[in-house]
Amino acid sequence: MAKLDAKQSTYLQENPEIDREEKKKFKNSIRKKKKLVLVLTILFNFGILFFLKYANFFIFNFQSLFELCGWKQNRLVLNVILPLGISFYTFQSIGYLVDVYWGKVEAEQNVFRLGLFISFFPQIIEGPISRFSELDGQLKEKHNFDYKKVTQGMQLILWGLFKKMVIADALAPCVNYMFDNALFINGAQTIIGTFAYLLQDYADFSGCIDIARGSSECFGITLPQNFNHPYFSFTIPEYWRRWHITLGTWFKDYIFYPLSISKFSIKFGKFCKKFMKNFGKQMPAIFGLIVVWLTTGLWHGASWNYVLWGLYYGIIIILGIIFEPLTKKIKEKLKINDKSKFYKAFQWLRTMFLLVIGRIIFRANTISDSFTLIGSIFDFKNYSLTDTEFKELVVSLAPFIVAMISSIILFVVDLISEKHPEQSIRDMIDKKPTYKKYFIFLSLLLIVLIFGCYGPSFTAIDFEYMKF
Amino acid sequence: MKNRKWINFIIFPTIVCLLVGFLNILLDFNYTEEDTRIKFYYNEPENSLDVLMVGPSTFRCGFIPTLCYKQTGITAYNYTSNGSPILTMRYMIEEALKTQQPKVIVVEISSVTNGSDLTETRSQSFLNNINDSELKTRAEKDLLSKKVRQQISVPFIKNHYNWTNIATRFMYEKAYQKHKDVQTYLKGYSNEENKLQVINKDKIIKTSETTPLTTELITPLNTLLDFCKTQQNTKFLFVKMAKYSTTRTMESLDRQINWAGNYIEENGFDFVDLSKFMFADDKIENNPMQIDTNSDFANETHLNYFGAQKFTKFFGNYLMQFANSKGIDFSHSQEVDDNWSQICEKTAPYFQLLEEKTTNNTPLFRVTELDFFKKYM
Repeated sequence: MAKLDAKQSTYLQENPEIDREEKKKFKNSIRKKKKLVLVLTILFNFGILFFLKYANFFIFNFQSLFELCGWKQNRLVLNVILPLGISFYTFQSIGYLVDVYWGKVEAEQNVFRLGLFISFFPQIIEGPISRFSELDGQLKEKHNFDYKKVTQGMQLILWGLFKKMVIADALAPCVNYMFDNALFINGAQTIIGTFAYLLQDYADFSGCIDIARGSSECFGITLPQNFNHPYFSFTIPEYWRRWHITLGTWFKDYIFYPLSISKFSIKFGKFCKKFMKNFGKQMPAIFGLIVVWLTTGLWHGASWNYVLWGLYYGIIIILGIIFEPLTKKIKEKLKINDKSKFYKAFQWLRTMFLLVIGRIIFRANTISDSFTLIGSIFDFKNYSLTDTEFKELVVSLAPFIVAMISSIILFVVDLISEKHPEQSIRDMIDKKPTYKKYFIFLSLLLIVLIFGCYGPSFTAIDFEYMKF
Repeated sequence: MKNRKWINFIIFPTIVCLLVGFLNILLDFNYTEEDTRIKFYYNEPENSLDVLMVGPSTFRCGFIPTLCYKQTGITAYNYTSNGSPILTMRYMIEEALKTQQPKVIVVEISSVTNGSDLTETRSQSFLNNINDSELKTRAEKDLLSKKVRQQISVPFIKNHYNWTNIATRFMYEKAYQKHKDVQTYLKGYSNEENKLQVINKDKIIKTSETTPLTTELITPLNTLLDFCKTQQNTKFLFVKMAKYSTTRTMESLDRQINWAGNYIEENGFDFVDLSKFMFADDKIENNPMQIDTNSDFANETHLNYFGAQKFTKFFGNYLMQFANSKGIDFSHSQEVDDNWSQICEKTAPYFQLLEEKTTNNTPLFRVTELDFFKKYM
C-alpha cells in the first residue's frame, strides 16, 4: 500500500499537466489496487486465525448438520496448537493495515519495527490491543533510564500481581466448582459463584493488563488503558466503554463505523425508513450492532456460548436504543430524577444483574448448563445453603476469605480512582511521605508473598484471556 | 533529591529481603495433622503392624485402627496423605516397608483420577515429612518436576502456604517437641471437622459403568502395580472407599475408578469396591455396612465418627475373611498386644468425647494426633 501511495504521488508530481478526469481515473485505479491489497492481507491474517481457532468449530457443526440429514461419517478433528494470544495480535495487525489504507498512519518500511509493534512482549498475551499511532513513536524514540517511570511501572506490576495472585487465583477453585457442577447446585451457590466469577475475571484480566502496562512503563513505553472501573457502570453500554476498552474501540472503529457508513447501510436505512419511519433510521445502527456483537462473541472463542453471549449483549443494547424514547416518557410521567441516588442504585443493580446473566452464559461449560444455572437463580424454593455446601463451593476457605478481603481493598482503590479521575493512585501515593509509601508498598508486597497463590502448593492457573 | 532516590533503591529491597528472611523462619513448620501422621509413623515399634492402610483422607477419617484392634485383634495404621496420588503411594509403601512388615497393605485408589499437576501439589506433605534418604531423593525426582524441585529448594516458596496454619503453629510447637519420639495413639485416625451432614438421597448418583483411564493416568497405576508385584511377603488389597457421588464431576471420576478396579484385577491383584456394601440396598437394614445418610457423614466424601465406627466394624471383618482366604495369620507377640491394649485404654476418653461432640453436633470439632498429645498426655 505504501508503494502504491508512493507511486501515486510520484506519478502526480511527474505529470502535473494531466487533466482532472485523468487524475481521478488514476487515483481510482490506485485506490482499487490498495483495496485489493487490504482485502488480501486481511484475508491472510483472518485466514490464519480462522484455521487455527475456528476450523474445528465449523467442521464439528457442519458434520453435526450432515449427521442430522442422515449422512454419517467419521468425525474430523484438526490437531492444531492455538498460539498464545493470537486474537490480540491479529486484531492489532489488521488495525494497522486498515489505518494505513485509510491514510491515518504511514506504512512502516522496516519489517523489524513492524514486527516489534505487533509482538511487543508485554501485550502479546492478553493485549491491550494497541494502535500503531499510539506505539510507533514511543517504540522509535530513545529511552533513557527514568527512575519515576521504572518505580511506577514496578508499582503497577505489583498491583497486577496482587489482583491476579491474591484475588483471581484464590477464587478460581470456587468458580470452577460452580461451573463444573452446574446441574447440582442451588440458587445461593450460583449467586455466590457468579459474583466470585465477576471478581475473578476482573482481577485476572485487569491484573494481567496492569502487569503488561507496568512492564512496558519500566521501558518508558505507555500502553493504552484497558479498564476504567467497569463495575461502577450504571448501564450496559457504559460497562462496555469501561471493560476491555481497546477491543471495544477496535470494533467500533474498524467494524461498526465502516459498516454504518457503507453504501449498503445507507441503502438499507433508506429502505427501512419507507416502512418504519423514524425507527427505520436506526436500522443501519442496529444492523451494525448485531454484526459487532456477533463478532465480539466469536472473537472470544469458537463456541456457541460465546455467540449467544455476544447476541445477549447486542440485544440488550439494541433494546436500550429502541425503548429509549419510551423510558424517557415513563421517567417523566413518574417524575424520576435520573441523578437521584435511588435511581442510580436501581440502575447499578439492574446492570449487575444483567452482567451476572451474561457472565454465566460466557463461562458455562455448555449452553444448557448456562440455562440450568440461570434457572437456579430464579428457583427461590431452593436457596438454602448449608455450612458444608458453602465449604464445598469455596473449596478452600482460607484463600477465599483472603480473596474477599482483598476484593474490598480493590474496591476502595477503584472507588478513589473513580472519584479522582484527574490523578492516578500512584501519583497520589507518590506525594505522600516516604514512610507512608514504604508502608503501602511493603504491605502490598507482603500480602502477595504470603497470601498469593503460587509455588508447589498451588496448581498454577493461566490468565483467563490468554486462550483468546 | 537524586541521592534520595538511589537510597530508596537500596533501602527498599533490603527491607524486602529482611522481611522474606523473617517469613522464612516464621512459616517453616509442619504441624498439620497429616504431617504428624507421616512423621510419627517412624515411632511405631518395629514390625508391630499387621495391616497398613495407604490412601487419601477418606481412609484417614473412615477407619479407626484402635477400634479395629478391639474388635478383631488386627494392628493397623492409616499411613495416608490427603488426596495422595497413585504414584506417591508407590513411594509411601516403599518408605513404610522400611520399618514395618505388614501382612496386608490396603491401597485406596480414588486418587487414580488425579493428573500429574495434582501429583506435584499433593505429594508435598509426604515428601516434607519423611526422613532424608536415597528414597526421598528418588521420590522427589519422580514426583516433582524440575521447576517444583527448584521452588521447594527455597524455604519461603516451599512453606508460604503455611500461613493457613499459623495460628496452630504455636499451639502445637510444644506438644510436638515433647512427644516427637513417642509412638502415636490414634494410629493415623483423625475426624473431619464438620461432624454431621445429612446427605440428600436424591442427589446420590450410583454408577457401575466404566470409563477408561487416559494413558497419562494409567502410567502411574502401572508403576504402583509393578512395585507391588515385587513385594512377595505382603498381600495387597486394593479398594475403592465407601463414599457417595453427588456431582456430575464425581460421577465421571467414579466411572474411571471402576475401570481402574477392573484393570487392577486383570493384573492379578484383589480389588473390592466398598461402596457396593454401603448401598447394597436403599434400606439400611439390608446395607451390610449399615451406613446411614442421615447421621454418618461428615461431608459428602468423608464419614464422621459414627460412620467410621460402622465402616471399621465392617472392614475389620472383611480383613479377617480376606486373611483367612489367603492363609494369613494376624497373631502377634504378647508385647505388641500389651502395647495396643494400653493404647486402646488411653484413647478411650478421647473417643468418648468425640462421640459426645458428634452427637451434639459441635461445630469444627477436630482432633488430631498433636491435639491428643496436648490434651490427654
